[in-house]
Amino acid sequence: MWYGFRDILRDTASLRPKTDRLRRKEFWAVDDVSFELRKGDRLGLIGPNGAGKTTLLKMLNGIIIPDKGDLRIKGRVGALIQIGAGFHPQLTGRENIYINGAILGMGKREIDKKFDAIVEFADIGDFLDTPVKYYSSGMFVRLGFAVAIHCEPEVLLVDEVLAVGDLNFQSKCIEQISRLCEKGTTVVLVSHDVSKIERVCGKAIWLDNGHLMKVGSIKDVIHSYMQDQNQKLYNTESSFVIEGVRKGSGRARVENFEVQNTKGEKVDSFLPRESISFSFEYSLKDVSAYRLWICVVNQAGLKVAGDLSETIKNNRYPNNFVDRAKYTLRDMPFFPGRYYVIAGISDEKGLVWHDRVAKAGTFIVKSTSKIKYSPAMANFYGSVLINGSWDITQTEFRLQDRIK
Amino acid sequence: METSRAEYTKHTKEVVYTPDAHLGFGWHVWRDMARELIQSRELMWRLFLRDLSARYRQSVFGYVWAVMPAIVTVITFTYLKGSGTLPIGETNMPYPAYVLLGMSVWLLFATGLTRTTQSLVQASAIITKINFARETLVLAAFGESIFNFLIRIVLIGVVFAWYRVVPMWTIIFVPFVLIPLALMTVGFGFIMSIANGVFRDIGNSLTLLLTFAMFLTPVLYPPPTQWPKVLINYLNPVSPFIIATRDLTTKGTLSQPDGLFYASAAGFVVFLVAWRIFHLAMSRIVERV
Repeated sequence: MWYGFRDILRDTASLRPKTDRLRRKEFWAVDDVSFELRKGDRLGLIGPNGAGKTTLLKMLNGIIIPDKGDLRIKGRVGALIQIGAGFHPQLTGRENIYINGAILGMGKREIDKKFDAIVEFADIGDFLDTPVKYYSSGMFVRLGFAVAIHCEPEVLLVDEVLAVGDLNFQSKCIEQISRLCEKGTTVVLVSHDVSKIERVCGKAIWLDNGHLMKVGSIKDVIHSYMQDQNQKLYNTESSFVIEGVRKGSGRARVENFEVQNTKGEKVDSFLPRESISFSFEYSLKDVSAYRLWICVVNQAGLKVAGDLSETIKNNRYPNNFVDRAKYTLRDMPFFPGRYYVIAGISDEKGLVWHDRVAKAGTFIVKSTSKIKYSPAMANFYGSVLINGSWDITQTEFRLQDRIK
Repeated sequence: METSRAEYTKHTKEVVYTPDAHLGFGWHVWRDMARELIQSRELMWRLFLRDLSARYRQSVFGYVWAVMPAIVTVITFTYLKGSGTLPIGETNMPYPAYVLLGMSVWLLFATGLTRTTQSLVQASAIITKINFARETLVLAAFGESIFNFLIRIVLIGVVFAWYRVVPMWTIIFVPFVLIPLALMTVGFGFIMSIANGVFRDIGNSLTLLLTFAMFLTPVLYPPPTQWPKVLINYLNPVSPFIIATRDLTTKGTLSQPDGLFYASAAGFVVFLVAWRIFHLAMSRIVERV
């Protein structure tokens, strides 16, 4: 606050701002980021939260002025950032189109010409002449989007906002953006969804904590970004799976859980399709029938292999200590990444837990040159690796016979 | 979608943002500010229409509310004067018309100030996300005050006709006299709107303060001639305008030309300084909001 006030005073007195140095408690939201875009380029901004992507976008939009360096833009800048800006709930959709359009920089004549296209895109039907406060949230967003997207600026800034509306609408939006790209609009897209950026953009920038980590072609930057993510993956623990929490009636107890390779050695990383074993000891107290249960969870908390269980009825030793129970999974279909194992013992029907240990064990499946970890590739490969084979039989036939 | 880009592209010039681009006292700074404002004139009009149509949309009496406060005050004080409860001096035209004329000018200032003060806070959502000239918000808000003023002029015409008051020909100068007042109001509005963004009390207490201030202005009573009350005519920046309006309407000459001159000059200066401060402050505020 105080800095702001001082800044305003200095601005008024027209003193050159001492902005190249930081004051106490300040930090560079965007630090020494330089790049050049030509007309028609499509740039993706990737990076973790708080990297400075939105700040950079605000600078491109002219809302924030850089404290050091300069920014040059040629052409009208439009942003799909604040959808429905200027909308007044008491006014009708028709009136609000003109208001929103005016705020985005479109004149009345321009809106008149594009009016029908906007209305058709928004698909709100007869609600065009009812006050906007009666719109559903979806209609509200569709109308705002329709106006913004018809702004047809030379530079289009998109900030993570394509995730609204139903699928039909989303595809309409992406189609419209592609059309704008074809016409030569420069697009800057900010998203966490790396696959989306890969699809739309040709160039990318990776930001982290305000620093420019990498700038270049989309493939290079995503490769570097993914490598870094991989590294972090191996180093961090997931917060989705609760740390070693044990629950249950206590009539059984799982101990010394180990993740092992085929030789029986305790290992913590594997190659894809390698064989893996889970081994543990357990003790029972007055349990005559029970079920051993293991499940494997990935870093996002998603069960990739559930209910690997074995039911033991007619246990002759209800009070017993079992040296070893081992579950072996040959040809592991798990995708590269970190996994956690939950182990438990329940009654034979699986309704009551005698003992259940979350995060009993953990292991990593490494990336190889053929099978690399990346969220984009997960879409490509699917959630698990499948080991099937192709068999193609070719018989002679005449092309004309088949295609009639 | 066949639209001609060339037709709509006004911004093919390169825009450069540097840390000190917007500073300075030179001519180019004012030229840039003015150009930005002129380019936004259509937005201003739209915002003005929006606020106006939305304000009375779901009310029964609609635009009558624009003149209601003035009417109520006139009736109240006419009665108070007539019944001798309030000792008010003699005026050179029927009291109701006198008050109405004074009040209209006062409200141009007061309503203008209250509306402009609220304008930024009301639009806080879009200010930080979209790039447009923020002055338009303040000016569009003042437009409402002008609209109310025009409606009151109609009312004044009716009242004049009723009392058979014929205004002097000098009444045509009144709009020119009011221009500096408008500028002064907008100037104060620029500053107050920013201050209100930081200290919300200002917006809340403004109505109260203005009511109080109205009693310190020769709206309900003729300009005092005795010291120390005569100071009201000089220290209160709105007084000269009210006095001048009434003079031009009834007397044909100005009774306080020096006061009017200083107040007009002040109006221009306040407007220019406030506009500059507003423009500079906006870029800083946007960073911190």
